[in-house]
Amino acid sequence: MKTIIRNVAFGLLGASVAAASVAGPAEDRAAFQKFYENRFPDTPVDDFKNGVYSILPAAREQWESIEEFPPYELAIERGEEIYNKTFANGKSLKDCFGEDGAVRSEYPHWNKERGMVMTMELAVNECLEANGEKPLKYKKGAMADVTAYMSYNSRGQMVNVEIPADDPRALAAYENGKEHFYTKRGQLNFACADCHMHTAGMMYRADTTSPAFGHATSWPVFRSKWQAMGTLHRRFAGCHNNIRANPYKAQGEEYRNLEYFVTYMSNGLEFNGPAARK
Amino acid sequence: MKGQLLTAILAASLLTPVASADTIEKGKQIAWDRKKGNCLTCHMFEGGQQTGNVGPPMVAMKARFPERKALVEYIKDPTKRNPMTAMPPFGRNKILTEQEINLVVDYLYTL
Amino acid sequence: MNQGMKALVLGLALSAPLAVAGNGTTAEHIEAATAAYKQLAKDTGYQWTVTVKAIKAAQKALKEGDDAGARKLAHQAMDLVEATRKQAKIESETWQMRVPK
Repeated sequence: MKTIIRNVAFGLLGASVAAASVAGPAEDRAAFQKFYENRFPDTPVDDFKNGVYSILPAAREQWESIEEFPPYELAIERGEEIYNKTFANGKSLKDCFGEDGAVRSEYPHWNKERGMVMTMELAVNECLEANGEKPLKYKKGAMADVTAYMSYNSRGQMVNVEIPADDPRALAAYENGKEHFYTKRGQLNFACADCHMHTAGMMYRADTTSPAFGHATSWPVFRSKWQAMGTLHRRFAGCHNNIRANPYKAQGEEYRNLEYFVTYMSNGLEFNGPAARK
Repeated sequence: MKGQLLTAILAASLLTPVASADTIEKGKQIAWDRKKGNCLTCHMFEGGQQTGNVGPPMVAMKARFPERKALVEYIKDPTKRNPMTAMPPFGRNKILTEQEINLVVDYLYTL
Repeated sequence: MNQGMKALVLGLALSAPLAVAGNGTTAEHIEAATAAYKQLAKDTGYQWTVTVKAIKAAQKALKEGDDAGARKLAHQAMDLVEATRKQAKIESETWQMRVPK
């Protein structure tokens, strides 16, 4: 018996030492996901894609009835029109993203040639500009509509972000996003991790904070508070404003790296955007 | 004996600011104000609506912080005692002034 | 980050004397606070909305002829930059604690 215990203890020690010496994105992600699985044992792992509703049975029924007649339906229709519209040069977004734009799981990704994280919104605007069209604003409106259409057609694709090992700049971008997630900012001194990890599921006034595991799967969303559609970076900026931190530029490096990190943390979940949220 | 007691009372009143109905009411206003303390976001207060539960309920404050200075210091920067806390450092980050924090403490000691 | 911190220290060393001393015009005090805010944001990425608000309020007060009010707001903004810098330093030393192992 004693030997067994000693062996187990030794095994654990060995494992933790090994983890410490090679701790990288894969280990981070395992520990991250495990944290939420332990904190919310009643939530099936694949359900974290549903945000706060994955941990809030009381609000779930009402949310499910909202999703039956989704408030983002019109956005998808508007997005489809934008997607299929012929540019002045005779081309369209189809020439960049295929017949139905179901490319959600290709983003975010590391672009080695340019040494930066590429997001779907950025790619949409680059396609527009390359074809002589005007770029769209990143937080709401037409951009949210067209990405709602593309995300809708991508539903069911799996989150599978890669941090390529052959480019140290990719790891640096990931680390930058990671540090951002865990550092307290703004006059109110909150880290993303304070609300959405260490106090996730608790109540700030009447609002329950959502788990960060699954945060990146469902965008863009129709948010009741906005009474409109918005992109992930719009939400980042809103959170920063709440904690009295000056928001960063939508689609700037800071937010793209943060998106890279949080999406990577949700690897293994399903993309299920667009969605309705409070 | 009488003289000693008087001296003791005098000394105590010089050392600690005197809480009055006025300072307590002012402290309550600061604690409840969404743009100031906004304490109800995370703490249950008796009589408060839609109070959060991130932090502990605000009861028995004298028993929890027998020493006034410790409570003042905690509100100024709770991360000193607990770096993992979600509570803002109201003093360090200049969310409230020293005077405002003392008014809040006057109020907290009535709970 | 390390280089950033070095630049930050240098930046503060250059801008501090002006603000600490009572010298200089109010406009210069506002300018010093603005420069310190921008430098800190550039070096650390830490930037508070309330600091920008204080700077804007100072500029407005100065425009309206309230020199004393403007000066007070400029100093407030500088204090907020200092508090932000302290936050950035503390966080650079403690954020790893929040990462689940």
